[in-house]
Amino acid sequence: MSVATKALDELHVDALREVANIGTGHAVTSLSTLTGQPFTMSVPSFGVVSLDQFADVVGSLEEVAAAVYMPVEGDACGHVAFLFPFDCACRLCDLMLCRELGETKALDEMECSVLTETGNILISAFLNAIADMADLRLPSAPPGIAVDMAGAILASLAAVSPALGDHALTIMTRLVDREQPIEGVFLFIPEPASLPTLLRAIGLDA
Amino acid sequence: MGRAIMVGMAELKVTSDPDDVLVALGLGSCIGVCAFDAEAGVAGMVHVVLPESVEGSGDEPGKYADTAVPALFAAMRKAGASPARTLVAIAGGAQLFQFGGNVARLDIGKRNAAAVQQALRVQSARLIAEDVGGTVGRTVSLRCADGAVVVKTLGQGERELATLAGRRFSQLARAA
Repeated sequence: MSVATKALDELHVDALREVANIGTGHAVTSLSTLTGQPFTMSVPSFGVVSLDQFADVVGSLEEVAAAVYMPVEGDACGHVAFLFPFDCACRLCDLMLCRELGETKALDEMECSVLTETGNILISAFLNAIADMADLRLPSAPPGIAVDMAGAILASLAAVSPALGDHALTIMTRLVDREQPIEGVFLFIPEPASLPTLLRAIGLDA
Repeated sequence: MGRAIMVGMAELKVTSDPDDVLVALGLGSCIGVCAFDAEAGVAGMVHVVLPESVEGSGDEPGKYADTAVPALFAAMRKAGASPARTLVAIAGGAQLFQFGGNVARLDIGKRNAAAVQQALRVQSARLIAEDVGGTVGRTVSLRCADGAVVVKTLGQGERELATLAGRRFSQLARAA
């Protein structure tokens, strides 16, 4: 375990939870603006999980999921991903493509493109909120998308951070429109060296 | 199917119980290294996450290709396997995330595959089958009863990659 991880005590977790709330709040507002749908959002759970327990984030490792990933650069390098279970990804496509609920049955090129852009918007809003609050520069690189076994996606995300054994902030997010909730998970993985920067920026000494 | 023993990220498992099936679920850029000595009936699997170890990290050896492969062979030997008889198959090392026009990023899968292959060469290991690279995640299992290595992918179902037994393998079998 790295020094940065050990420094993550309860106070830090609380502060990061606040950061996460603000970030996801902005993300959902931007989605509402885009779709013209009055989304509400709740964060039923928030956790700091070590990357080797990443699997617990999803029910089954072999379940199909869709994830949009964006590397974060600038003052606090890291990785952000938004992961949706397959059925929720399909519902999100229904919504974005103005389809009947349940019409999207497969995630092909069109659907992946829609999900990539939606993920891009959500993640960018999330990062902007954090950057504004912490007064950091957090530009992101273009997004990538994967539709595959959830375990394979999570393991691939875990491997992008060179210091495995480090922790990710996982933010369970429930987007609710009038019909059915769309659940997704925000994963925010700061690089080990970035965590102290983030903590300092939000007023906590790392 | 026998008793499934999960081999999580960075884990290394060795068994000589013929009822056991070693399973690495949902390999993305990770690699499942399967080893089997048919005569001794010893099966081993390690779930490699990254190519190179960081000195003094105190991490489990199974995490990195360069430490995982020697550790797997040492554990197999301890369980009574002979390195000379042990046959190896590897699966995983995919690049799941697709970027518009840019595939150079997140190429950990490719680097993992190269590092595992290199580490196996160092051990003079008999790598007889591999299913690495590509863009899809895999679940790989190794049956201790007969050394059968089965790879499961999304959409393509299950497929037997190799059976790590017998002498009929003179050259490396590659996945179609």
